[in-house]
Amino acid sequence: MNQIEIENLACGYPEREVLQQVSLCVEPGKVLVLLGPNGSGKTTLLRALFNLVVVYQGSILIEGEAVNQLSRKQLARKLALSPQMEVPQWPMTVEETVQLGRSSHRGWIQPFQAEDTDFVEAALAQTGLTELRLRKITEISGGEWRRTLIARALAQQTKVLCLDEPTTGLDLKYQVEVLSLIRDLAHQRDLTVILTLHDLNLASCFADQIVLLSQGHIAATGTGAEVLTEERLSDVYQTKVKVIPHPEYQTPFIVPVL
Amino acid sequence: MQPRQLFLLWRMIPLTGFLLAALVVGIHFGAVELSFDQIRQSLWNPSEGSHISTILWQIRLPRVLLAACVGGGLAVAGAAFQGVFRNPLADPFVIGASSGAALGATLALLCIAGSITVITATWQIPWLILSAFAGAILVVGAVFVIAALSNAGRNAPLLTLILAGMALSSFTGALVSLIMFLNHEMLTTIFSWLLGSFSGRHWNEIMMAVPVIFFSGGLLWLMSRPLDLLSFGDETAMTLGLSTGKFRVLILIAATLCTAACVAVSGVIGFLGLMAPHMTRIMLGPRHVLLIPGSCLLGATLLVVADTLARTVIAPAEIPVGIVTALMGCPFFLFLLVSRGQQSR
Amino acid sequence: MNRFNSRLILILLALWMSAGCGAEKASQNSESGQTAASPEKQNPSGFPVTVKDDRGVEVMISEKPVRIVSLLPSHTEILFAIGAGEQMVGCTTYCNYPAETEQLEKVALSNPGSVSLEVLVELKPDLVFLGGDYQRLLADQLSKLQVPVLSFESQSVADIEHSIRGISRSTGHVDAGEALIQQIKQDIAALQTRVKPYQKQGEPRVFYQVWDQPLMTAGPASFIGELIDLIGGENLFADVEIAYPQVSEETLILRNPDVILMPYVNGGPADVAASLRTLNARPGWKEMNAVKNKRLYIIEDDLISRPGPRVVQGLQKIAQALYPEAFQQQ
Repeated sequence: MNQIEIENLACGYPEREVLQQVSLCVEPGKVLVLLGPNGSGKTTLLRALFNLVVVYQGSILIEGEAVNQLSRKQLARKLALSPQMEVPQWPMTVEETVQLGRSSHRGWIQPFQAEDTDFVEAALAQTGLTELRLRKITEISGGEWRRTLIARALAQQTKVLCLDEPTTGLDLKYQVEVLSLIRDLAHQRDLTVILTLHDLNLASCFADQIVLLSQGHIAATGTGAEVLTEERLSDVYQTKVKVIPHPEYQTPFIVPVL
Repeated sequence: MQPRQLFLLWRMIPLTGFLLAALVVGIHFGAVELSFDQIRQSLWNPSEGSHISTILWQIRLPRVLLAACVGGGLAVAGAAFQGVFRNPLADPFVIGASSGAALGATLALLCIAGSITVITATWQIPWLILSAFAGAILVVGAVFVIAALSNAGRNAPLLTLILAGMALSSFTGALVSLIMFLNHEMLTTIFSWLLGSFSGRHWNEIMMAVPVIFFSGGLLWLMSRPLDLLSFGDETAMTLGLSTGKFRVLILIAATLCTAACVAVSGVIGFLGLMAPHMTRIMLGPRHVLLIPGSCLLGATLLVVADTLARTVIAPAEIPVGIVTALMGCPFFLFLLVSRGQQSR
Repeated sequence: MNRFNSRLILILLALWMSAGCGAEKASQNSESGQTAASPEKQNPSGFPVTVKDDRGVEVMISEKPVRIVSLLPSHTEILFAIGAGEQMVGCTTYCNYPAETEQLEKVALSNPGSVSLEVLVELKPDLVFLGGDYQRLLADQLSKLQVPVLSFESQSVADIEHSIRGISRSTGHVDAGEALIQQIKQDIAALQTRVKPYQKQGEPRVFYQVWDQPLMTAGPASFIGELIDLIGGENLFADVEIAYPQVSEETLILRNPDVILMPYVNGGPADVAASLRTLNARPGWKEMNAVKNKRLYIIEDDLISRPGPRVVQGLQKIAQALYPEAFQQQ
């Protein structure tokens, strides 16, 4: 069974449709990367999964259930999101922030259990935050804050993990680490990962499946080699590019031509 | 409960200690000087009809306890409003609870004055409290309706609420000013009420206000985790499993109830609901499960101290306690802000 | 909300200050007023006359004014009492005595800020009377508009005589004014003599309750406090300097008043029995001498809050409350 099935989706905001005729299936255990230029609808598609946009037409099923039929709590146990932008408001610690990722698994007045602590520990360790657990989120660096957001989503222990631009603001080391971690989790735990990326080459290396969006439509979907062709990219990004094989993996490697 | 969370509860002990000390000080000092011996004697075996016993049991004790409850209530409501609006400048009066209560109370005072000895009987005070309460609920309700009707509410519900609250506050504030202006002889009375005071409040007021304050304050404490989640912003809170709309309304209603009950028995006591949660956040961190009871203890302490000062500084005259909270609270609060800024550097 | 609050505090402070300053001013004026009056004696009712008011401004009145406006209820009462009512054209909505005031144009509420200058100027007044400090700004404004203005302080018993003298001289009723002053002095003295014999057992301790929540009284600096003092009552809060202070209920119970006075406003009913029941219900109040002996008296607010010619009536009410025996014999 497909983890996620999107059929003929048209969605957006009260005053504007952003996506049209989007149909998509995602299998469990795969890393799906959403690519596309600014404004092509990547984030809107992610938000649609969380029932955060207005759906004009079509349906989104997760494990066979329509997302708009699920309660927020049920949805949060199936889907986790690490958002692109979030401003820390109060000086909570990193650990407290990650712990709140466990909220959907407990009643609103039920204290967290030992099981929750274990998942929080794991998420902190996986994102390299164990040492920083008592730091205040208002006083950490941008990269540390992004890893905290990823850890919070990991702590949700969902079958589907969505990440909006998870590598933005990270050093190269952490970019690779985060993406490797995500790929390992996907393959080992049958986790479905959907992420948006700006970097075509990172996407090409890590994605099992790529969806290329252009102006609210799906321009192409498939493996990196199938989607990332010179002609298509030059057209979608309106910039001339060359595609050469990656020196290590033979995956497509994209360089702009000036 | 995990050991870690239990450990955090220990951090309530100093605040509890402060409150107990403040209560002792509040009961010991008053316009009438009583020695510790007199107080002890009269506390253990109150004798009917003696001045000391009456002063202690019927006047000072209920007043100190009421100050503690109102202080706690305002601080909890302040913490909740700050949390739900993600705004450190929010206070219990941000969406019109105070101006609504002020309008209700002003109208009630006018009615009472118009027929001074008719309502003066036992019903005068409940009448005042109920009017203040109804005023607060009505204005806050109107703010909600306006925010819901406005289209902008979909995009920025928080901002619309605050703006509608400010607009309606100004409106009702103007109505109160108008009433005062047209009823010159009531000026001092209405002013004194607006400035906040526990003068002339007894067990009756405690009976009426405290159940509401405890109920709504307790409800807000139970809402600790939703409040924590709301601090990440609406969308994140939703993706973490919170039905934000439902919980926000619930929290705002509880916080408004709490504020209205406080304002109804004490008048408008400013600054406390803003100050106490911030001070508590510095001491105990921003998690609401600690912040709310901590603010409650600290708010209670501060208001008991402020009211004790209000009762004693120019005795036998008294100062409206709202003036004391602003005069004492503001510099202390600014000092805290500055010293914390230097620490983190 | 904060702006709202701070505005309240400002206004309240201003109120306190004006009350305090007013009392000081009044005592100075009563002396200077008397000396200033004598040199003009040679010209008793004839105009022109030059009158110096409490701002220190000398106003020359060339002929008998016939379009007078009063912006203070106590001044209005004085004008009618000296027979200048006929010369009046306007007053405030709070000027409710005597009944003839109903016929006059209402140019203002009693509030210093609520006077409509346009209505006032359109009335073409040839003389406007108003209060002292708290209408100071208004007086200056009117002067600038070429409206002849006289401002007399109206805060204390001494101010009454002073105001009557100033008002009667400037309206051409010097004799009536002097007669009224003498009458008031005699009546006050008569009341004092009447209660004197009963003061031997000690003066009754009086609590004047302005309001109950917060508990507010009239201090010795207020006009009401002065009246209580004048007729031989001991103000329970004589040690408080504020005119209308919020006071400690603890102290009230400890000091134990013999008599409680309360005002009633706007002609409301004076139901002493119901009020007594309320007082009885308050903790510690039923042991008070005043409540035990049912010595609670409700007095019409206007009589004891306006330093005007009806002061004697107000004083008599207080006297009857404090020394009922003195009035029983007849």
